Parts: sequence; structure tokens; C-alpha cells
Amino acid sequence: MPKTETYNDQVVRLFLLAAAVWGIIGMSVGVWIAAELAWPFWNFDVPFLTFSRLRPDHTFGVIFAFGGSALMGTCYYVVQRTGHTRLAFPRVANLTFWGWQLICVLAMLTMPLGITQSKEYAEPEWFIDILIAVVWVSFGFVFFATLARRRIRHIYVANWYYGAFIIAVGLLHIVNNLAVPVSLTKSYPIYSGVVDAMVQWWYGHNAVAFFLTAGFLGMMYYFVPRQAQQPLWSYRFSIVNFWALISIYMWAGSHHLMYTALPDWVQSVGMAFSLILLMPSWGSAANGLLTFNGSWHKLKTDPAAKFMVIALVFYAASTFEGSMMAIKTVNALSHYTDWTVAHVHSGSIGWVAMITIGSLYAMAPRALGRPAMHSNTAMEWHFWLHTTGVLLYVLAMWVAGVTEGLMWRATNPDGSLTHAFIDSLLAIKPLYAVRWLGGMFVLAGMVVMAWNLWHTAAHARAKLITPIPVPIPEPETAQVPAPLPAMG
Amino acid sequence: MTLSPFWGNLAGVVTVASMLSFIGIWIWVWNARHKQKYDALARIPMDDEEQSQ
Repeated sequence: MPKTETYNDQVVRLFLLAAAVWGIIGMSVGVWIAAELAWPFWNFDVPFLTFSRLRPDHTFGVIFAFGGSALMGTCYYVVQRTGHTRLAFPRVANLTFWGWQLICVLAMLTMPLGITQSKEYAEPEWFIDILIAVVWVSFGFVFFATLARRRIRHIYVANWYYGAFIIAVGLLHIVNNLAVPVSLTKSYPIYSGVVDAMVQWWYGHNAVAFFLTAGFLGMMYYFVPRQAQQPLWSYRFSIVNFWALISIYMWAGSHHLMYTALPDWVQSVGMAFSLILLMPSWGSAANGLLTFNGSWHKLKTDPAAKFMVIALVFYAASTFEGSMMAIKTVNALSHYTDWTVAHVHSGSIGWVAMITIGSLYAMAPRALGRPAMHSNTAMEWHFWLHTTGVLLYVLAMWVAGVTEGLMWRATNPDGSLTHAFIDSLLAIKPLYAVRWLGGMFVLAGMVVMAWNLWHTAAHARAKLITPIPVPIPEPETAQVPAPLPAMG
Repeated sequence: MTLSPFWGNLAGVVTVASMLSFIGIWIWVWNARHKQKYDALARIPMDDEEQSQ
């Protein structure tokens, strides 16, 4: 009897577990520092518990540890399913898992001690950056080697997004972290002044583009049609959006540096590209939402589908908001206020976290050898906790941001400022408490998900599940003699 | 500081080339000969579920 090839879901399960754990850790830190902003005594005057030290732990924890584990896990799952092949180089794949976890632990332990490059979203010091580069290249190696051995000739669109995510993030990470180490815990970037700022925000914005967008669009393009049980609404439209998105996003980073020492024309380039970017963003959001045509009734009973639909709505909303905020006159009001924080979190807890949670709920039962998640009621609870949390968070920060922007720019007839800075802080203090509450709702939802996943994984822990065979199509028998061409 | 005309010309050429490639992608993907292939690809994510039933 021929040996059947099976999907390698072992490494997928590990990443699934890691995503659930890091989600809770990263969001707990977020809730903690949100409490510090509302009630500063929460830092207890301990240096490593201050907002400035813990904030990178929150961003690294949710983006790279939670998001990264979910992306790598789903990527390994999707590339096997869409290519009808087993994952290539399983040992290297396991290395990427343990390597990534080591990186996350090292980063999360060193940053609160003040061992940091002080580059936003690229805080870990040089020795961790080298580890990241090694693991990332290994991840790309496994992904592209698996693609190379696929049995379906055409590469499904989700893989194009995952591929772009892997290549671009590798490029961004290496270029932005070029530095000269002076000791084990300290290095200096090779760039200086405004060039350093531009490289940083070329990296920073494209981390949003290729980590938080392209990667999660890969997830979306696979798990949305799968959960809706409908073919993708328009495959060809997805191709147009792919090329438009990756070619435009690269040039939008300078919108983070408006009204700074950056040359004005570079700021204008960033603004123009940010506005055009709305088109491919809405293209993908529309493609995902229209895929639910014919399956909208699933929203009544399927919390995973609900997560996906609301994620796509937040994707459309936050990309529209982002394009508007890149307009110089709007940016003059919004920059340095909590409006930016509202925008980032409608993108991250609204779009990124919700598409991730929806996809994990879709993937987990299959990867854990169960017909469905342990508790549908718990998924329903998670959905409402998360949705309430994200709405509270984003509404509070919008109001806070516009309040700050208006108070800071208000002037008296003689040209002096109407408000002292402290007045704006006092005005938004209640909103900081609401933001903390919103974060608590989101975190509570993640705990519910972890509980649900733990119970769904009972059979996997007891090693009662069998690997899923790869569907290998029967070879077409050659007809001898060859059939005659059809005649009119 | 003013930029040399070379950069202005290059920007124009790159803009036109980008526009042409963008239109070209639209024409290429809407070509009828791809339809059958794309229709099959659009159904790939549904495979996974079908086998589990």
C-alpha cells in the first residue's frame, strides 16, 4: 500500500497555542499601560514599570508575538492547503517556531530594562535583530520551498500576499536595523538626522503595510471564502488589488513626518500615495465582503464569520481614515493627538485582531482534529466582548484626539494660546478611563478564546487525532490514440 | 536647491510606465482566456471544508 502524504499541522498547532498566549500577554500589558495613563500611580515609581518602558512590550507583544505567531501558523496552514502538498523542511519549520518564540521572549525581557534602539516598532537591540533576520529568512525558505513543490499549478492569491509579506518584512527589517554595535546592549544606527527619521518611517509604515496588512490579507483571502463557503467574489479583482497595494504602499511612509524637517516634496509624495492607497484597500475589503453574498445567513449562527465581516468593515473604515489623516491640513489637527491612537487601534483591534480571531476559529478545529470549536456560546461571548471593547476604545480616543487637536490650536485674539497643555490633559482624563475599560473587554475576550481553544485541543493533547491526508489528484490517463479534435 | 531637469523627466517616464503597467494588468486579468482558471482558483479555499464532511 502506498504511503499517503499528510499535512503537517504540528507546527501550525504550536503557533496557534503561541498566538493565544502572546495575545493575552500583549493585551494585558496594553491594559496595564492604559491604566497608567489614566491613573499614573500604577507605575509604582519602578523604572521598568513606567509607560515609556512597557509601551514597546505592548506593541511588540501584540504585533510581532501575537500577530507574528498567528501569521506564521496560518501561512503554514494555507500554503499546504492551497498547494495540495506537505510542508517542506519540517525541521526548519520547527526552528522558525522556537526561534520566533525565543526572539519574542528576549525582546520582551530586554526592552523594559532600557535595552532599546528607540526606533518605534523596531526597539530590540542588534543581537535580537540578527536573530530575527535568521528566523525570517528560514521562514521564507520553508514557505517558498513548499510553494515550489505544490501540486496545483497556479499560486492561489493568499500566497501572493504571504509571499509579499515575507519578502518585504525581511527587506524592511534589515535596512532599518543597520547599526554599529558598541557593546552587547548598545548600538548606533548608520543613519542620522532626517535620513534616519525617513528610513524609520519607511520601515514603520511598511510594517503596517506588509506585516499588518499584506500578511492579514493573505489570511483573509483564504479564510473568508472558506468560512463563507463561497468562491472568492472576484479572483481577477484580487490580482489587480495585490499589485496596486504593494506598489503604492512603499511610498506612503513620509506621511508620518509631516510638518517636520523632511523636505516638503517628500511629504507631498507621502500624502499623494496615501490617498491613492484607498483604492486597493477598499478593493480588498469589498472583495472579502462580497464573497459573503449568498452566505449572509451564516452571520446568525457563525461567530467566526461575524468576526471576519466586522474585521473587513474596520479595514475599510480605518484605511479611509488613514488616507484622510495623510492630507496635510487634516494631519495638522490630528498629528501628535490621540486621534492617531484611535486610528491605529481601529486598524489593529478592529481589522487585524478580528480577522485573526475569525481565522483562528476557522482553522483551529481542523488543525486540532475536531468537527467544531468546543463552545459556540464562548465564541459568541468573545465576539460581543471584543466588539464592545473596540468600539469603546476607538470612540474614546477619537473624542480625546479631536479635543486635544482643537485645544492645542486655539488662540486668543492677541495670538497667545487659549489653553495650557495641562487643560487638554484634564479634559481627556475621563476618556482615558473609557479606553482602559475598552481594553479590558478585549482582553476578557482573549481569555475566553484561550479557554475555548484549550478545550478544543483536548484530543490533540491526548494524541488522539490523525493527520489529514493531502488530496492528490489521480493522474489523467493518456488516451491512445489521442482524441480527434472536435469538429464544427 | 533645484533639481536637475533629468529627475523631472525621469518622474514623468516612471509615471507613464506605472500607469501603462497598471492598465496592462487590468487588461491581462480580464482576458477571457483566464476565466476558467480563475473560477477554479476562486474555489480552492472551499476544498478544505468539503473533505471534512
